[in-house]
Amino acid sequence: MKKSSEIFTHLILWVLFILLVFTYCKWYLLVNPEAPLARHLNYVVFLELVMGIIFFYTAFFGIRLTKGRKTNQVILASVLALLLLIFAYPAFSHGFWQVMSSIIPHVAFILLAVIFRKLSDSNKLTREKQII
Amino acid sequence: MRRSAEVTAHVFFWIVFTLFVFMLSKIYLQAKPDAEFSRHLYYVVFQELVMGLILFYTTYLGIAMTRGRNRRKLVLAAILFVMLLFFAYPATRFGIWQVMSSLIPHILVIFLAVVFRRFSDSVKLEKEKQLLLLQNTQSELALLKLQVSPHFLFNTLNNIDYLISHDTVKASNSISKLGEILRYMLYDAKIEKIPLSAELRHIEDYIGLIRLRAFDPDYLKYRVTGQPGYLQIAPMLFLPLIENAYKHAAAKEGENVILIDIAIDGRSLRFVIDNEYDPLRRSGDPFPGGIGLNIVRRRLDLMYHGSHNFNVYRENNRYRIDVELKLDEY
Repeated sequence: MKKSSEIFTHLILWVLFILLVFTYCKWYLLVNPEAPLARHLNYVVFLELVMGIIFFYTAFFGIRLTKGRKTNQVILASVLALLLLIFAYPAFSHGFWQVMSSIIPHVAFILLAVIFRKLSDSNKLTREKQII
Repeated sequence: MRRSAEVTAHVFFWIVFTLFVFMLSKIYLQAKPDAEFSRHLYYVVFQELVMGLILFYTTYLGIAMTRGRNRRKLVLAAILFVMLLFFAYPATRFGIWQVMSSLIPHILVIFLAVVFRRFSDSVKLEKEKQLLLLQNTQSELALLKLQVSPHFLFNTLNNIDYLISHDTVKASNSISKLGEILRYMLYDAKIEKIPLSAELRHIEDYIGLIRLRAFDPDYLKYRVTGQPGYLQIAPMLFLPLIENAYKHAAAKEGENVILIDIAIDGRSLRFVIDNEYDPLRRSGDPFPGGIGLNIVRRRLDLMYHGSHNFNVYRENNRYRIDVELKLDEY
């Protein structure tokens, strides 16, 4: 995978993510037009994007730094767990499913970051294989 | 990364996907408790999971089948497009956002299937790379072993050639010893590692050949301390060093021209070879471009990576090589 196609893949991911968040917000507002997010929908979508980016790239770049070092892996896992709690905290007062609606997509982002990291490494791997 | 890690990633992905759908449905039902699907929530989640699985694995397996074939790629794209429309069709009567809420997650699933496909390919790539590395190492080791024999034979035949004209009895003994050594090379040294005791016997045979030629009985001193026990070692590992020491000290006469000291302590083995050399003979470097030293260094790197030390010292017209190794048992 070339660097340009790697960047393109990242861009598609974020475009699809924004569309997904926007669609679900609109879908939700159809049944609950009075919801607080109705007044600042764009801000909510932007906030979701920022949180997603933080999770994704913390894991994406963090994995490279922790390679083969148990202590660093534990530190990264702790940082991500702390971030999960911080971002889910405002939802605590709204109920269980609201907390889950913060945690589950962010966990999904961590999983995706691991897979994207692997893809990024495969670029290097292909070159190494060719050299061998 | 192993195959199991790939399977774990898929399983984890579907668990997160199911939880995500369930969570969204629950939040929706909080806003609209009388929604149509409230009575069969599990069925709706199951239906979403099935649709996700169909789209994901059609893409995931489809890409593998369409590799390098443009027509098949078009067919796959058409199939996925029809599927997207088919799954979104029931939502068309509810409005644009309902249609989008079907289309966008499904497009995301297709995109992720492409990503997972590439992820799977990278797992295969890593395995292929490791296999190639292993094959390269094996080929290199085989090549290095092959290099030892001609190098050794060349030097030994030179010795015997010299003895034939000076001492025929010694020459005959030399041929007999050479026979033993060749038998060892042909049959025993074919395997990756051999018992240390056998290797020590082989070194003694070779030293016997050198001593036959020397005038002074103390020309070469050889000492082994410690017990080889069940330790094993790469065959003929030190032979090139002995050959080189002799080659560069052959013109010297007297006592202690070559000193070989082997010390075994537990699993550690220390091999020290110390020889006189003529610094004027080859511009101060006793082994210019010599393959012997390179062979040993390379074999140590390949077979004892991270568990050996190799040091070369040069002082007072003496050349010393000090090798330390951690051996394993058979």
